[in-house]
Amino acid sequence: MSQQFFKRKRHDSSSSTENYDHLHVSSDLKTNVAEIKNILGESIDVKIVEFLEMPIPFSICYIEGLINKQQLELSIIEPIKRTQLANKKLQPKELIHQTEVSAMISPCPHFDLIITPVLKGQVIIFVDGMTEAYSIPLETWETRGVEEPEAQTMVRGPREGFIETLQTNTTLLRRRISNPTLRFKAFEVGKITKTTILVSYLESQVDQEVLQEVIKRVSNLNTDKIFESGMLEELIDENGYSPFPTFQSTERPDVAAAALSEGNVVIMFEGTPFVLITPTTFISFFQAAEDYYHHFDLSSFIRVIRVISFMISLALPAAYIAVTTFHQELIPTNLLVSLAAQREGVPFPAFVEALVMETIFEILREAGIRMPRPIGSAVSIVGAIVIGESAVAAGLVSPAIVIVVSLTAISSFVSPYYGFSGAARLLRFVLMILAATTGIFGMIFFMIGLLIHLCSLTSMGKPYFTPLAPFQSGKQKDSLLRLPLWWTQTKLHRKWVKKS
Amino acid sequence: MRRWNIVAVIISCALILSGCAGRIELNELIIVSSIGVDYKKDKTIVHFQVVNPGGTAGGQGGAPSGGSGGSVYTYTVSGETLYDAVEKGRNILPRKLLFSHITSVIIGEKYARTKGIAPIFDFLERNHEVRDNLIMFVAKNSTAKNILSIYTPIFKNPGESLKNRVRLAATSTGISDGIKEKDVVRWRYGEFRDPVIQGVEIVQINDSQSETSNLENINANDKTYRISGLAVFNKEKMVTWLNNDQTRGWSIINQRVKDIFILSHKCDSQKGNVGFMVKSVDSKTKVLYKDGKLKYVVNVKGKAILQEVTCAVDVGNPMALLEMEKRVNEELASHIKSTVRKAQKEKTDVFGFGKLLYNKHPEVWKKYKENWKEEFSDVELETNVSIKLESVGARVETIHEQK
Repeated sequence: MSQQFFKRKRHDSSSSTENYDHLHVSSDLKTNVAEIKNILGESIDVKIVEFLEMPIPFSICYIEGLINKQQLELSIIEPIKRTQLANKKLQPKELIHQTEVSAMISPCPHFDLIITPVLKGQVIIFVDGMTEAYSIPLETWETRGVEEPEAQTMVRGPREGFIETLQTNTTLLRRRISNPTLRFKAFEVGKITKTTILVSYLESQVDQEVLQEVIKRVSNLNTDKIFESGMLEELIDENGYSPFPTFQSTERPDVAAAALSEGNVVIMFEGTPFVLITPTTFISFFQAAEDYYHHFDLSSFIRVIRVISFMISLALPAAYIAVTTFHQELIPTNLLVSLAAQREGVPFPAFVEALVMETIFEILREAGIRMPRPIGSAVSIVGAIVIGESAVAAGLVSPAIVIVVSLTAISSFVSPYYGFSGAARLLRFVLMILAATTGIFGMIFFMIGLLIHLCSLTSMGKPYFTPLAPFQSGKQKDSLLRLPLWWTQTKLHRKWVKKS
Repeated sequence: MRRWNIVAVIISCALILSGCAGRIELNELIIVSSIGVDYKKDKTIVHFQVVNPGGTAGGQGGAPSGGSGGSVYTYTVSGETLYDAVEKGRNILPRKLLFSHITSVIIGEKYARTKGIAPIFDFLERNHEVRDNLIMFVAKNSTAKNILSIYTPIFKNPGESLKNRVRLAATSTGISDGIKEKDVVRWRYGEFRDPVIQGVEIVQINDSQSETSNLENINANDKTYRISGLAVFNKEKMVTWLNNDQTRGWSIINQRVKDIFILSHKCDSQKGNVGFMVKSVDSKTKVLYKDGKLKYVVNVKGKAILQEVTCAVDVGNPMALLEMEKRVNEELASHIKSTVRKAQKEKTDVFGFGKLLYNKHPEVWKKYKENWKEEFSDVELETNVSIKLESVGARVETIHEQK
C-alpha cells in the first residue's frame, strides 16, 4: 500500500516539473515572458530584460552569473537595437536574420528547448510576433584554474588535474589525444539536478560491448539527484555490496587519456574533478600513471612493493594476533622471547590491544582529514605522543603492536587510489576478529573467501581479477610487473635505437 | 536473503563453537628452552629450564615489568615416568609450558646408562609441540641438573649457548649441526644401527688443559661446559664414550663433516706442533664380501691448509710437505680405526655398516642379520685417507728459519 503511494507521489512530482514539455512559444511576447516567469519563478538571479518601446518589442532572458554580461550588451542587445532603428519597416521575421548577432544562434519553438539552455547559461531572445525564441550560448562563469591534483600526486608527470568544469576537462583530454575517433557523449542524469555527464571513449579502440553497457546503465539511471562521480559509481555498479571499487576514479587527465587509449570508457561529470574509468581490474589499482614515466625496473619494483604493502595493510595486525596467541611455535625463539618480554604486564589480550590501536589510528586519520588545516599539527603531535610514546610508557600496549599498527597505517597509504585502500582498511578488522578466534586457520579461510569473491566480481561485465584469473599470459607483461615498453607494445619498432 | 541467513549461521557457528580454542596470550606462557632428565632412586627427575623474558630480552625500556631477574630458571620435578613428572610439574610452574621452542634435551649419564633413552623418545616423538630438530646431549660424568645450573656468558639463554657451541665445536668434532632428535629417532627405528648422542661436560677453569682444541676453553666463568665426545648406545642403553678423536672418526665415516675441522698434532721427534684446517672432506664407505668374509673400506678425500708450524720443518721443500701430508693422513686413519675398534669392542654398529651390507648384498645380510652384533665386531676395516695439502698459508718460513 505504502509502496503504491510513494510511486504515485513520485510520478506526480515528475509530471509537474515537466508540464512545459510541449508548450509552444506564443507569438505574443507578454505571454511568453509570463510563462518564463511562471516556470522559473521569482528568483533574483533570473533576469528578464524587456525592450517594449522598440518598433519590434523583444525580451532577453538569462541567468545572472552564468553568462558574459558585457558580451550580451555589445553583441546582442546593441546590434538588435541598431538594426531596428536603421530600418523601421523591418518585419519581426527578418529582425534576427538581418542582425549580425551570433553565428551560434539557434531557434527554439518549444519551452523545453528554452528552459534547460537558459539554466545552463544561454541567453534567450523572445521577439514579439514570432512563434519561436532564439538561444545564444554565452556561458561564462567563475571556474577554478587547472591546478595540480591533490589526491593523486606524483613525482614525475604532468601537473595538471581535472577541475569541476566539464568543458575544461574535455579540453584537457583533447589536448592529450588528438585523435579523430575521440567521442564525448552527453547524458543528463538526475530528475532534479539535471546534471550533465559525458561518456567519452575512443571509437577506434573501445570495446563496443562495454560501451553499450555503460550507455544502457547511464541512460536508464532513474535517480533524482546526483552530485559527484562517487554517487554515479555506486548507482551503476553491479557489485553494490563489495568493498572493492570496480570503477577507477582519477583526477589526472593523463590517467584518463591512457585509459581511453587502452579502450576503456571514461565517464566525466559536471561539478567534480574526479572521472570514472571502466571497466577496471584489481591489478589496475596497483598501477600508477607514474609507473610508465619512470624506468621499467624501478616501476616493477614499486609495483611489487605496492602489492606487499596491500597485503601488510590487510593482514599484518591479524597475522600478529594469530601468531602470538595461537601459533607461538612459528616465531623464531629470540623474537618470541623479545615479544614475550614486551607483553609482560600488558593488561589486555593481543586482540584488544590491536583493535584499540587500530581504532585510535582510524580516529586520528579521520580527524586529520576533517579538521581545519591550522589545527593539523596539534593533532599529529597529540597522536604521535599518545600512540607512540605514552601508551607504551604507561604499559597499556606493547611496543610491538605500535610497530605493527604504524606499519599497517603507512602501508595503507601506498595504493595510488584512495578508495581501494579503504577495502583493505575495512577487511582488516574482519580479519583481525577471525584471527583472534580461529588463528591462522580463520585467516586462511577468509583469504580463500576473499579470492573467491574477487574472482566472481565483474566490472561492466568484464572479469575483475583478470589477467590473474582468468589468466591471460599476454597481459602479464604489464600487470604485477611493468616490463619494458618495447616488450609490451608489439608493433613498436626500435631498430634505430639499438646499439650498432 | 535466505542465502545470507545460511551464511550468517555458518559464520557464527564457526566463530562461536570454536570459542577461541587453543588461544593463549604470550604472557600466559612460559617458554621452555631446555629439558633435562635425571635418574634418582627409581624416580625420573625432569628439569625444565624456562626463559624469563624480562631478564633475557634486555633493553626493554618501556615494559613496566622491567628487565629484572635471571635470564633463565630451572624447575625440577620428579615422577614415575617422564610424563608423570611433566604432569606433576604443573603444580609448581607458574604458567603453561610451551614446548615448541626447546633447543636442547640433556640426559643425565646415569639415566642414559640405567633407564635408557626409550622413555624419553616416546615422549619427545609423541608430543605435538616438541620439534624434531632439537639437539640431544648426554651429561658426561654428570647430571642434567648440573648442566642446567650454569649461567652462560654472552648468551643469556644457556640453551642457545649450547646450540651455538655445537656449531663451533664442529671444528673439532666434525659434527656440524649436532645430533638432533630426528637423527636418533631415525637410527632407533629399524634394525641396522645404534644411536650416538653428543656429550656435554662441565669444566672447571683451572682444570689441566685437555687435548681438545682451545676453542672450547675460552672460559669466562668459573664454571662452564664443553661439548665433548659421543655417547654410544646399544640401541637403548648407553654403553661407552667415544673421545674427541674418535668422534671425528665417527663423523667422517658418517659423512657428517659439512664444514671444516682442525687437526693438530706433535711433530715427529721434534718439539712443536703442526696444525691444519681440513676442509671439503668427502668420505665413502664400501663393503666387500669375499670368501665369506666382510671387509669395509673407508675412502676419505679432502684438502688441508697449513695453519701453524712450530717445529723446524722446511716448509719450502716439497718433499717435506709430502711428508707432512702423509702424517695427516696417518693421523686421520688412526682416528677412524680407533673409532671402529671401540665400536666393535662394544658391539654397537654406530656407522650403519649393517645398512650398507643390506643395500649391497641383501642375501648376505639375511645370513648375518640374526647375529649382526657379533659379526660386526669381527669385520675387517681398511682406510684410505688422502688429504691433499692445498696451501701453506700466507707465510712460508717457519719461526726457526726467520732471521
